Formats: sequence, C-alpha cells, structure tokens
Amino acid sequence: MDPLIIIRLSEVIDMKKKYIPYTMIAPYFILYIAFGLFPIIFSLAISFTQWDGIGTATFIGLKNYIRTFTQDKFFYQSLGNTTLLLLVNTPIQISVGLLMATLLKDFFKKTRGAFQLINFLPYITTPVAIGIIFQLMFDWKSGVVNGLLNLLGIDSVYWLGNAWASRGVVVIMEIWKGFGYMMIMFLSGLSTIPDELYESSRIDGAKWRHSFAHITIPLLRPIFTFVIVTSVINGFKLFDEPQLLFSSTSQPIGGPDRAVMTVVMRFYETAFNGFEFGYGSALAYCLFIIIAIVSFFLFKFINRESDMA
Amino acid sequence: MKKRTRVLALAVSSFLTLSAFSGCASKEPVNTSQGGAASSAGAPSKINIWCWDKSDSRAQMHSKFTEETGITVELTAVQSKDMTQKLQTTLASDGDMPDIAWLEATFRGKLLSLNIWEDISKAPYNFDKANVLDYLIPLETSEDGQYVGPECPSVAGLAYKRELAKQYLGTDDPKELEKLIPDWDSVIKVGKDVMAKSQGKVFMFSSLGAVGNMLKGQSTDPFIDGDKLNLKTSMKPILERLIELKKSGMVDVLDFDSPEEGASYAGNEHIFYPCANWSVEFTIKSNDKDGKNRWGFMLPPGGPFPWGGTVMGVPQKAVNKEAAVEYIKYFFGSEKGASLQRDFKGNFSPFKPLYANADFYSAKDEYFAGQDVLQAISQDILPNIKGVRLPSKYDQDINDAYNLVIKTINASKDGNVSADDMISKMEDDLVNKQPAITK
Amino acid sequence: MEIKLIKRLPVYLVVLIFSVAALLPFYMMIIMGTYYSEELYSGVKLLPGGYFLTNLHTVLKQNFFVFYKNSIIVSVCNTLGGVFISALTGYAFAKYQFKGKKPLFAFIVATLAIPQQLGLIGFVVEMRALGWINTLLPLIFSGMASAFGVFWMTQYISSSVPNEIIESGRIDGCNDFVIFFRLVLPIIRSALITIFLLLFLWSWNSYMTPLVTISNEKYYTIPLSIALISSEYRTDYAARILSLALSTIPIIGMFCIGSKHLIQGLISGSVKG
Repeated sequence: MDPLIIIRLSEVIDMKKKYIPYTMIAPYFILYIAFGLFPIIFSLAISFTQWDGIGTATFIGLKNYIRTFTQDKFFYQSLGNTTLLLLVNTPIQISVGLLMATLLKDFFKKTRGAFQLINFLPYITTPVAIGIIFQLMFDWKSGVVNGLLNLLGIDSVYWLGNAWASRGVVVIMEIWKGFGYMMIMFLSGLSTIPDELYESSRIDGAKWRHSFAHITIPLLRPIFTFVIVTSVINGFKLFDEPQLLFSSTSQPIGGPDRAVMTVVMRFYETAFNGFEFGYGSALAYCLFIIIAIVSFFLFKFINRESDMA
Repeated sequence: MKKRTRVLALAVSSFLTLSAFSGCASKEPVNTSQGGAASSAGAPSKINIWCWDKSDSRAQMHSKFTEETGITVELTAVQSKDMTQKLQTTLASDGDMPDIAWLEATFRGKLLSLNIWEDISKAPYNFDKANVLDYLIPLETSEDGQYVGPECPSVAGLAYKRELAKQYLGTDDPKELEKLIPDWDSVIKVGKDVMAKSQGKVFMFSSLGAVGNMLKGQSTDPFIDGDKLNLKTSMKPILERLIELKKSGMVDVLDFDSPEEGASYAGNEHIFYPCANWSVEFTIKSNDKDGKNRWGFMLPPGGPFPWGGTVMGVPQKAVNKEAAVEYIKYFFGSEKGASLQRDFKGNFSPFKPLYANADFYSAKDEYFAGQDVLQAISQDILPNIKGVRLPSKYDQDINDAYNLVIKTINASKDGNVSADDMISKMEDDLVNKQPAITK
Repeated sequence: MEIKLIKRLPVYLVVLIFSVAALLPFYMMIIMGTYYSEELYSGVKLLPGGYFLTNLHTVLKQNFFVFYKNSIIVSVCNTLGGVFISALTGYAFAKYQFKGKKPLFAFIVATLAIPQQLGLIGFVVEMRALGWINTLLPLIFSGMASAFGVFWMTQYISSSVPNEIIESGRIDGCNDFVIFFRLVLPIIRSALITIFLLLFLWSWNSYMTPLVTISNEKYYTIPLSIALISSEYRTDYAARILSLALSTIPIIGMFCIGSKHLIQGLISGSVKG
C-alpha cells in the first residue's frame, strides 16, 4: 500500500481516537448535569439564604455556615455520632463480607447460589418489618436479647433507652444489613482473580491463609478502594436505620440523648420538619465538605502505589 | 456476535421505552386536582383531599355527600409523617396544592404558623365559627388570628381493666373509681397500695409516656411565650410529677406507643390507660381482641384533656376552595354531616348545638360492659375541657425535648434525676436548635 | 488434594450462623404478613398466622398491580440506562488516557459524598419546570447517572480486563465501540450483574423522590402505595408488610437468575469443592 495513504489513514484514526473517550463519558455527564447538578447548585444557592420553602428567600450570606460551626451543638453531636458509628460499622462489615465471600467461593461450590441469596436478604428486607422486629427483640422487659443475657447471668439492658445501648442496636442493624452487600461486591471482585494463581500457589504448598494474604488481598486492591471509600462515604450519610428505630412521634429524634442522631437526620429535621431549608442546606454542605476531605485522603492513602483507579 | 446483538437490543429497547413514555407522559394533564375546574356556580365540581384514610367507610361516607351536593371527593393518600414534607416541596416548586390538607396535632403548631391557609371564617367562605365548640377555636387559629379550619374533637378520659380494678382498688364502677383517684396525689397513694398488694407485679400505668401525654394535656400553661421559654413555671410541675411516679415504681418501663405497650392491653399487668374517643376502636379493641366486657371508662385524675386532633386546612393556593369549604361546612358544621361522621367513622363533631341532645352520641359498648362511652365523652368529658395550650411554631421541638426527658427519667435508676436539671437540659436543647428562642 | 472435613467444619459453622442470622428476619417478615396487625406486638412470630387472606385482600384492594407496574417500569428503565452508562463511562476511565481524566473522575467520586436528600427540593423545582410532575419520568431519570456505578465499573474494569484483549481488538481493526461491546462486556458480566441488582434495588425501594414528585395516585410506586393501607386512626402494619414482602419477589427472582453469572471465571473441577 502506498505509505502516504497509510500515514494519512492513521492520522484520521488518531484524530477520531482522541475524541472517543469523551464520547463515551458524554452520556453520563449530560445526564448528570441535567438531573443531578441543577438540584445541587440550587441547594447551594439556597444555603446562603433564609428560606422556608414558601415565601421568598432572603439572602444572608455565610450566616448559616457560621451558625453551623459556632452555634449548633447538634451539628457536632451528630457528626460525632456519625463518625463513631462509622468507625465501628465499616471495618466489621467489610471484614465479615470479605470473609463470607472467600469462604463461599472456596468451600461452597454447589450451594453457593443459595447462600449468596440468603446472605443478601437482609439488604432487601423491608425496613418497616425490620423496625418492628428489632423493637421487639431489643425490648427492655420481654425482648429476646435480654432474655438470652439473663440466661447468662447478665442484667437486662434498656437497649432503646440508653445512649450507648441504642448505638449498639444501630451498629448491629447496620452490620446485619450490610455484610451481605459487602459479600456480593467481594464475590464479584474475587471472580477477577484467575484460578491459576491459587492453583499454582497450592501446588507450591501454600496454605489457605497464605494465599489469602498474598494473592487475594493485593489483587483485590481496586475493589478494596471502592468498597472502603464508598462505605466511608455511605457511613457519613447514614440516615435510614437510626431514623427507623426512633421514628414514632413519642420518641426523641435521634434516640436517647440523641445518641444516634446522624448529620443527615439533623438536616432532614431542620429542612423538612422545621421548614428551614436554607440552614438545612448549609448543614448538608458542611457534611459534604467533610466527607470530600476525608475520602480524598482515604483514596490517596489506599492508592498510593498503584496508578489512577 | 450473539452477546453484542443482545446488548444492543437491550440498549435500543430501553431508550425506545423511555421515549415512548415521555410521549405518553406529556399527554397526561399535569394538573390533576383541577379536574373539576373551579366553577362555584352549581356545576358539578371536585375536591382533592390529602389524607391518610383510604378505608371503605370513608368512601361510603363521602358518597352520601356527593349524592347531596354533587361535589366529588378525591382522596390522595399521604401519610401523616410525610404531610409536612410534601406540602413544603409542593409549595417550593409551585406545584398543585390539595383543596384540603389534613394537619395532625403533632405538626399543628408549625403548620398553622406558616400562613399558607385560608381563613375560612371570612368571606366568601363564611364558615360559622360561632357554632364550633369553644375550646377548639384557639387550637385552630394561627398566631395571626387566622381561623384555619375545624377538626373532629379529640379528647380523652381514662380506660381501665375491670378485673384488676376490682381486685386491687376494690371496685370497678367508674363513678366510685373517680372518687378514689380524682387527682394525681391520690393516684400515688392508691398506687402504693396496689404495688403492695400485687408485690410489684401490677402497674397503675404502662408507660411514663402515657402519663406524660395526660399531664401535658391537662395543663394549659404555655411552654413558650412568643420566643421566650417558660419551662421553669409550666414544665416543672409536670416533670416533678413524672419523677415522683417513677420513684414510686407504679408505672411500668415500657416505651409509649411501642409494640410491647400495644401487647400490654391484652395482658393483666397494667390497670389504667389514657383513652381518647378514637382509642376505643383503634387502640383498645384492636390490641385486646378478646377483651369484651373487660374494660371500663372514667374521668381521669386531673381531669379530661384534649389529645390529638386533625385540622382541615384549606391552602391559599388551592383551586377549588369554595367547594372545599362546602365540604367542611357539611361535615363539621351540620347535623347531617355529624351523623354521617358518627355512623361511619365514630367521630365526634365540633358542631356545638348537637351537644344539647344527650342522645346524639350514645351507644352501649359491650367491650366496656355495656357502658355508654360515647355519651360519657360527649356529656362528661367535652364540656369539662377547661382550656387548651395555644399552639406555637416551636411545639414540635418542645415535644421532642419533652420526649427526651421522659426517656431519661424512664432509664434512670429509681427516678434519681432532678426536675431542675431536666429543665435546664430542655432549655439548652431548644436554644441550640432554634437560635431565636431565649431562655 | 482435598481439604479435610475437619478443616471444613468451622467454615460450615461460621457460614451457617451468618446465614441463619441473615435469613431469620426475612423469614419473620413473610410470617408477619400473615397476622392481624396488632398481634404482631405480642412477640416475635415464627409460625404463620391465619390472617394471610384478609391481609392479601387489603393489599390487592388498592390497585396493587398498577403500583407494581409503575415500579417495574421505573426501575427497569432507570437501571438499564444506569448500567449501560456506568459501564461505558467506567470503561473510558479505566482504559483510556485523556486530558482532564483525573479531575473528571475525582468530580464523579466527589458527587458520591452528596446526601441524596439535599437536592430534593431543587429536583422538584426542576421537574415542575419541565412539566414532569405527576409522571414517572423524574423517577426514571433520577440517579440514572450513577456515580456509584461509574466508580464501581472503573475499578472493576481496570482490574479485570487485560489490556492485551483491547490491543488485540485494535489490531484486528475493530473500532473502539465494537471492542467495548464484543470483547469487554462479556468479561465484566459479573460486575454488570452486580450493579444492575443494586441500582434496581435502590430504584425499586426509593421513597422520597416519588413522594415529592407524584401526587396522582395512579402513578404511585409500591413504596408510596403503602400510604393507602391506612385508616384515620389505625395503621395496618401487617398488610403493609405483606405488600412490601410481595414487592421483594422481583428482586429475589433477578438475583436467582443473575447469581449464576456473579461468579465467573472459576474453572470447574478444581480441587476446592
């Protein structure tokens, strides 16, 4: 073929090639800008105003943010609660999920499907039912949990009436709900590791624990990054379970001593029950800033060796 | 090859589906509550109510109204806990408001203060406020003096289990029991006897929250005056009473409105429960299915008290406002409507003239061993409601702080908390939440 | 080389314990739907009650199938769109180098930090402006651009799709989209299934967005339709739970179908079983 034509052809291909990734990511960004960005910018604008959603919004500059950081004891309290719950939940959920995933993969070839489904069920069980079940199980006088504790000689605990006890209940709910979801993510991730690696290491005489530490974990790094970063982010955004436990009108918002009030709960209470949409938005944005900073460092830390993503 | 075609087909079909539905959707009318375009001059119209009652009994009740007036009633199901949020987002986005919204007592203070409601006592609606039970009017009026709308009176007395009353208090006759425990001091005295007799196994009340509701309703001292808190005067006696009860051990540790408390109705360890007109059917009978003849009804220690209530609010931005007020006048301001409410829903009416007739609300209840609870409520309880606490836009926050304190007292060992501490906690709480509040 | 039974026993025990703990509440949920609502309060129920048909009647009485249909339409469209876009975008970030890649990716991950409730009012305002209130469209498009999906796909593709495959595709003269559809997608089947299940589940159970964008009962989705199972002073929790339990059926069905593909690339006949 004429070398000139080859060169021209490859130039054309090169030119088109440059735009290909942009074409690929375009649908996402178009949709996001259309449906995701506008509401966020709107809320950002509102966070600089005082607005009850009904009348006109009055511009008050940074006053909402100042109030969040200097006057709102609940912001710090809810942030503390959220972080505490997060620090306990996340490692346990991830560990259990990973453990179950590897166990299922290695030891349950035939019945794996059934066990996958069963352990994912908590994630799809209806919150309404979960609420009633947990309220019954953890009841002070006649709950099953206290019954068991009594058998072991331990005094009954007022689970839903003590700050630390109610945190315990929320942690249990979270772990119970989330480990199946973690397991699924890890199962999917584990399938990217070729079997041959395990085979050859076994032939070399390595024990299960050894291959776990030296094959599984390193090769799962991108998945780990994903799971850890998203878990931390989701942990900061915790809302459903604590809301569920203490949602009746005769329960204080956020439980006894507001021990399980999370930042999003505080936002929700302010914006939608208190009709203070400006202040609520500022609260949420403060949370966003905190999450962004934490995840940025987290991401960097986990990914310090590998290249981007 | 196969996979690629499959994926492509999937993608194509999904986008086709999308566009199909965009097409369909844009043909649908956006404003559904304007179905019967507002013409108040006789043409058949329609009103849309946001409420949480989709039962058959209500549909039947409304069909009678439609027969008589030609106004169709369309109900959109919205849960009470979502009502505030839904109203707010609809207003914020300039959406279609319902013609009537149900405003439950819990959110009453905040919602009334928003100034988004029509004053239906004024022209052109002219709802007759003068014929509404006196005690209700302040509960239905905003701080600016706007009369928002009536509600079915919701008042409470005390229900008790006859067996237990007979066994531990010596009688199951309501009048005698009322003489035994006319006030809370006597409750404490009598309660100590009950505890002794039953070796601590039988409780006077099931939860501090239940008593808390009673005490709160029985006092009318405002918790807050405008933006200034008044807890030291108004809340202190209530908290002291709660702590006293906790110390005595005669109130069980259950959480109010919890599944366990519901289960206690069918049991034999708790004697007294606050009982509103709606509690008869929906709390007592449903929680104690086999409880025929087990129950009695009496005036509570400290006097009867208002408890709950759902206001009918007509938003300023609603479309069919005149038809909405027609509905309200019918069901809340006429005898016809009142009999329908009574027969189909067991509700009372705020229409004053009805109460001159002692038999209007009267029915022997076999659950209550033949007692005429309806009559007791209409003739003994309603007239004896001395007054109400005026709603304030901070009611929800105050209530939340109150719940927290009740829980703290409940969790404490033998009630060793001080009312003053609790009050300072409440004050700090509230000032934190709402910077506009002062102590 | 077999793993001795003795070694397997603790493993079986651990998995069994977790599985029972996972299954029990779900089982209880189903049982709860067969009771008279207030009876649920008297204790944890393990055996079916006699109220199933009555509760079922309550549930079906209110246009249940219309709500089911609405939920299906919304979730299927939303998820198909979401999965496809996530995969395509993830592939671009994982396998291409282009200007602005790092900041754009960081932007996407950053948006994960935004609580969903924050944009609610803005979203409603926008939907109103578009005239999409009281239709299913807001629900279909809400979240279709899923940062979560993109992030997941990026990580997955970067760790599971060898560059050699893409190279060989190029050498064969395929254009990039053909490579994506014919070579890459089959490899990441497992990730596609995973993200499909999750996006579907989240769309299916979504409550707040429909609450504020739909006021016409005809377009209610299942979570919203719970509000219809209620009378003035009493909530029939048992019937509500039954309704919600019925709504888990499609999810479980999809999971069963998809779980075969969840674990792929494992060579059968290896010594682990």
